[in-house]
Amino acid sequence: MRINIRGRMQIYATGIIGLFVLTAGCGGSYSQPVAAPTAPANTSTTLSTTATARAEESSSAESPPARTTRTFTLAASDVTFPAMVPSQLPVAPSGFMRRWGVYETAMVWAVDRPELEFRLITGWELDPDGRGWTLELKHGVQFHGSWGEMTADDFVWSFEDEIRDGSIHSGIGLARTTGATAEAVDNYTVSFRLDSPNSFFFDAFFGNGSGASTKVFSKNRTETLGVDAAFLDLSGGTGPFVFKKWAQGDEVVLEAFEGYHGTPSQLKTVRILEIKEPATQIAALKSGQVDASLVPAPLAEDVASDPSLDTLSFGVPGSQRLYPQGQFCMETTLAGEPIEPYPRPGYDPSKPWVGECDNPDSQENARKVRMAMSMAIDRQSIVDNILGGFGRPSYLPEVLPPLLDLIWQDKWFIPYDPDTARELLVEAGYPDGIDALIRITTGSHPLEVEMGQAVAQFLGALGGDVRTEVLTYSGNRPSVVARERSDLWFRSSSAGTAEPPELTQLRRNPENAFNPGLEVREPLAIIRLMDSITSREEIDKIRERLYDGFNLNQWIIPVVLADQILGINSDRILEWKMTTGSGYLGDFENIRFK
Amino acid sequence: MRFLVRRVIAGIVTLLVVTVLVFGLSRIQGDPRSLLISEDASLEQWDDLGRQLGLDQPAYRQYLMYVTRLVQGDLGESTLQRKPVVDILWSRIPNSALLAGAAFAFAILVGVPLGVLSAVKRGGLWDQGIRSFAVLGQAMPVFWVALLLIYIFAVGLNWLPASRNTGWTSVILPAITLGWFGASGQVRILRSSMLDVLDSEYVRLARAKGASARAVIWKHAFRNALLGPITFATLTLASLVTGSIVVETVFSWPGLGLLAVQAVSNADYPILQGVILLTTFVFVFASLLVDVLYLAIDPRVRIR
Repeated sequence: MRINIRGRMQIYATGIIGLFVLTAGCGGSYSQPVAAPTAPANTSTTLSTTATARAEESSSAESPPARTTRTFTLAASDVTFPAMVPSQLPVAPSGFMRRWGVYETAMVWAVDRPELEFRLITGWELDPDGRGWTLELKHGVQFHGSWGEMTADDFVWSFEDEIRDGSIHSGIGLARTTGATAEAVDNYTVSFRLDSPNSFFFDAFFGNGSGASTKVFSKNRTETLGVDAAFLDLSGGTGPFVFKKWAQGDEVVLEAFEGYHGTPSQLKTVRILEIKEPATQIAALKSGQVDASLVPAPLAEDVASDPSLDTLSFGVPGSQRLYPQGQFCMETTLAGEPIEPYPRPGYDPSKPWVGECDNPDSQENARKVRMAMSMAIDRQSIVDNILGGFGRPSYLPEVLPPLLDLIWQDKWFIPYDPDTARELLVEAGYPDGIDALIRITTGSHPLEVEMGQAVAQFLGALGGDVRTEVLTYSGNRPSVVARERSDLWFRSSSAGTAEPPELTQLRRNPENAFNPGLEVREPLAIIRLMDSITSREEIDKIRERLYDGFNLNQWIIPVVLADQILGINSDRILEWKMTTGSGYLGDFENIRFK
Repeated sequence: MRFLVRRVIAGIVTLLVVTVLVFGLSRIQGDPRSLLISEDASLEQWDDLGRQLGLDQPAYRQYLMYVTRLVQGDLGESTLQRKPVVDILWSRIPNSALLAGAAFAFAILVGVPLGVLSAVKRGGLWDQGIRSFAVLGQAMPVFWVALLLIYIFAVGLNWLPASRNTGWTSVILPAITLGWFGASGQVRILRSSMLDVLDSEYVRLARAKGASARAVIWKHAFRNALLGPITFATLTLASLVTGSIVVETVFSWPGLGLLAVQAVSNADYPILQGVILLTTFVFVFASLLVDVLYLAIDPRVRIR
């Protein structure tokens, strides 16, 4: 049997995030029936009519089910140590820990419906002026390691820790530009205030769909142990699992937290084993050493043909893209402050895909080149021949929000049309094709190199000399931070936030130093509009305008959305649904065992 | 004695050269801040982190700082784990030692008897079979042997674990994979040495005097054929300790080889430097050991 979940629950849910947060942030113009809680800890909020949400039932599990002794073992190619990231750098690993059920956010996205379920709160209320929210915290939430009950002080401290000076937390740009502040009203009430209404803040900080999500840590623990020791110490979360062992490069062991405030875990132990070699991962899966493992597409058939195994595929909110770097034409930030240095070192209008900033003809020629590159790529062929069908072509640089049917409109379809691509190049002044170097960075998807090389072949078919260079993401990153690059960059880019990453980059300039060459002027105006929207009709109009801009200009050239494939031991596991998030394996609570 | 002193000095120079090479090469891998800092970091934050890690200093100064700390026994701190490199290395050394020991045992226990048997049964079926074993062991890529063994003994027969260190049974497959090459080399060298010795006049004399076949082989021939195999065995042991990157990666064996791979992919320079320096030290030490053994075994070396 082969389970092939093409439903892309993850992406759909991600799409809903965009809709929801826009609603939540703009003054509450939607209906808001409160969904019936499915479990004591799983009270939820859906798209709402009023700007409040309450759990019908918010108490802790009163009669927890009997403890199980079930152990679940997962093979992963990389087990990242949480303490590798010092406290000043609260980035991705805390996201892994959230996915693994160690740390929690105020709310989490449900796996099978577009709803935010309450986790650390029991309700929220939008301030009448649309510039703030009041969160009601759940009572009786205990921190791991006997650090006591979570209070409003912990919540406020965790938020402020993320956005303090020196922090590089993913949400800091959003927090700074909105002037966000948090205050403990009483032990179980937290008030957030912004300078102005903002469409993205709600999900970015209170949901679990982005790296900006506020994971709540014990203030007392950090103050007692000290900052560094607190992050090396593996206690201090509130989730259903506690860390028992973390052997860097070897294994992670999680155990069910007996004092968990919600429904106790169905698992007593989760073991995540680091096995680097894909073939060995599959062997471990086949031999029963592990219950589940990611599977590279070329091995998927082999796994699926094993009667004791199944494959699942799940869409990751993110895509494989080609960045025509060097498009540095922004002189000011969203707030109108000058960007320094300007012009950027990587600004090189001699590159075919980079137009001179104040020369409309040059800009138009560069646009034609980018469009020609986009049309020269046979996306479906990459999906069929490299991804083995586990993916789909991508035409817009963000995956949000497909559920609106907006992103998949025919008008934004980019055909594979090399003849037209050549004509565009001729019009742009490149009848012999373009010479280019494509840097392919690795680290996010097992088939990045193959996909990047295929893109190079398609571009080379237009007549130019297109070369590739493979390097690690970390090796490439400094030059991107320094805005030195003006070549092409093929990379996997994740999304999963309420706000598309490209727009986030624009918003944060110059605070956000990372930018692959998307400092162009037009989307900035759209962001300004987005931040001040007040109705659903405006939301759709602005998004459509945004997508029109990306489609016409191909500032970023989307290639494919590549699924992750998971091999599971079907003798034990019936189903495993992934929620919105980083795309990293986790959400062990959503596994259904036989 | 002068011979040994010269070898020790040469070893120290080798280590120093390696520190320069390791330091330079590791910098080519990329900037460790790329892994430590988020996409949303500002240039100022990037620079601040560089200062924290000492990356703002000129390269020569970074190198001098590095060597000074080395002399003091400080291999630095992992940029990712924020732990002393020495501690991290120590956590992996037992696994590498276990694997190397098991592989070495396999190489010797299999290689020596087969080498002797091959020489004694020269030209026969035994000889041909053993030589095939040796050729295969040296010709087959290690990763392929590893996967073959995994699929036969872990997936097919389900006798042994497919990967990782989960107990004594888990060392069997990686040890065979790692030790096969050494065993093959031992077979070939020992066979060749034995053939030379078996054709020598003193062995013929021993036979003529009526010594038993066992005495001729093990007392007269084998002992005199040991010089080459001992050298090979010592260096094999060093290479088993240090050269198990592929085997440890395929089997996810948490030893020094896998640690090196992880350090490269994480651009964790201090760990990478520590692993390479340690492996260099092991090789230099093994070479010295071989020299000492030469002195002990072969009187001609002492005379020279």
